Amino acid sequence: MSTSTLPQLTPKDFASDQDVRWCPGCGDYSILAQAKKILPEVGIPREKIVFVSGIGCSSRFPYYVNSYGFHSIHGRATAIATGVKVANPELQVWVVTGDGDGLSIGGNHLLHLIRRNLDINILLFNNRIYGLTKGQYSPTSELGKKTKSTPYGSVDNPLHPLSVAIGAEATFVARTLDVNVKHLSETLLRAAKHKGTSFVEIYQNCNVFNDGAWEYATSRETKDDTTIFLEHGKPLIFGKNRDKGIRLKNMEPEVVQLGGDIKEDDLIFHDEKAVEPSLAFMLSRMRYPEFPEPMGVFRSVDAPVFEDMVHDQMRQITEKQGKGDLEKLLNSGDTWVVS
Amino acid sequence: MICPACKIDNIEGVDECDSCGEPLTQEVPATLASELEDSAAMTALSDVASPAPVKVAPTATVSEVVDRLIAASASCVLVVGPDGCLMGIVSERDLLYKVADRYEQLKSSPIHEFMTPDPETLKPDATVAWALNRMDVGGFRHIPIVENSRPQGVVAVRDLLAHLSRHYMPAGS
Ligand SMILES: Cc1ncc(C[n+]2csc(CCOP(=O)(O)OP(=O)(O)O)c2C)c(N)n1
Ligand code: SF4
Ligand SMILES: [Mg+2]
Repeated sequence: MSTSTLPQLTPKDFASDQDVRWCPGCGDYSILAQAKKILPEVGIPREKIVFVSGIGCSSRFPYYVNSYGFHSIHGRATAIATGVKVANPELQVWVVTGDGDGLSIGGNHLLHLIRRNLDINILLFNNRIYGLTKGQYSPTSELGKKTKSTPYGSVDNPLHPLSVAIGAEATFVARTLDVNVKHLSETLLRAAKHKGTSFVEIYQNCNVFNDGAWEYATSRETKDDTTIFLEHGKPLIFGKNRDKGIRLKNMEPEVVQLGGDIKEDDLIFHDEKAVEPSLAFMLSRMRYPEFPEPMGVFRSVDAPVFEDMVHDQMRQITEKQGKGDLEKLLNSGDTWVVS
Repeated sequence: MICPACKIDNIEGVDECDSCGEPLTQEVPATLASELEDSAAMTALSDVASPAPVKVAPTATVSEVVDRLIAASASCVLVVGPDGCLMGIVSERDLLYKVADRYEQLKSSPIHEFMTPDPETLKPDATVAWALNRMDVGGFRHIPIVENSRPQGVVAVRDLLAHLSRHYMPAGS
């Protein structure tokens, strides 16, 4: 796609004329602002960009971006986006979904988009609650969580979105936070540039129905010890004084204190390009409070994309057998009349 | 200035919010929600809660607590230990369910026997909306406001009601 004749767009060009209907203080605002900020840098004209969402507060996103968009069916954004991308691979397709939309009702469809490796960017706004419907527990709510639908505490084991995505062998997997706008915009840009399915989990605060869900990872006092920022080729180091690291012991990660016997070289070195997803999966299982939670790109590998394979196959078969005839196909083989 | 979208306090005069990128130079910021929703999501509990809760020692007797409640026309007391940390809460409902018709028999008993220990608490900068959610989910009517384990106030459902009724405007008004 040639970009040489494009006028230089600005974030304002991506702002729509719709009033934003999120609660003041909602983490969704900063995700929208950062998306509008990186879209000009991606260098694709607005008419070639499509945002597809399901249902939820997060799923209101397409209204607020001046591009094509679908506020579609609950849990089916991934299925609809698959259709959009296959029908027109020229489009840049984004899916915006929530922990409820993407992992409850839409869990099945999400897996199939990921395993097929369509060139689509999925943003999962994880606030660990159903926001739009006023505070029921979601598949990412923690055990014991009391909500309107779990008055005595949830007894469901939570899903961890990145473990799910890596389990389905997503080719690009990352995590970021609504309040870290620099990291957020860098992560969105990298997701946009990846060819293949990009899955980004964004820790998002719902200040009305689940306030403080990510406080441990965002508050100034604790975040240095509760999060670890991944950098390709660098050792896993964290802590206020950058004096703690992650080492592999019997195939499992352990937190170690640097200095003394333990040197940087003893730590795990991050390799986002590892073909095997095992390291990325292990990182996705590092969870607070036992471990600092990794932020950044867990995995970024190249693999053939679905829409290219579909179109290649169609081309090859058409060359061999000529153009198909739907009418003929429908009337071929055994047909019968139901009386 | 406080960003109307994400509520983060920005340096005066900046063009856009440092946290969420919302433009701050427009004369009229985007209408984000109704006045009622806006006020619930923006107002901190420190602005609506009663700042002088009735505090008693765990050894205070039931009759002392009843007298204090009546004198202050309050609906709950906070039980505070010798170190100033919150230990529990006693509401009218606790007295009704746990004492009521046995008052004569129990009036000299220490109040800690009837308190709800380690109640759910909120920080002073938590919002009205969040407090409404906690009361709704937890089924309680009072939440102590606590900072560094020390009680700073208490928010009662009637404080929230007063706040909401002040901001509630019927459609068309
Ligand atoms: C078929 C169907 N089932 C249920 C609902 C009710 N519903 C609307 S949004 C939602 C969940 C939204 O949660 P999430 O995706 O986490 O979005 P958030 O609002 O938290 O951003 C549910 C269950 C619906 N709209 N349609
Ligand atoms: S309910 Fe929660 S997620 Fe939805 S707009 Fe309000 S703060 Fe955001
Ligand atoms: Mg949600």
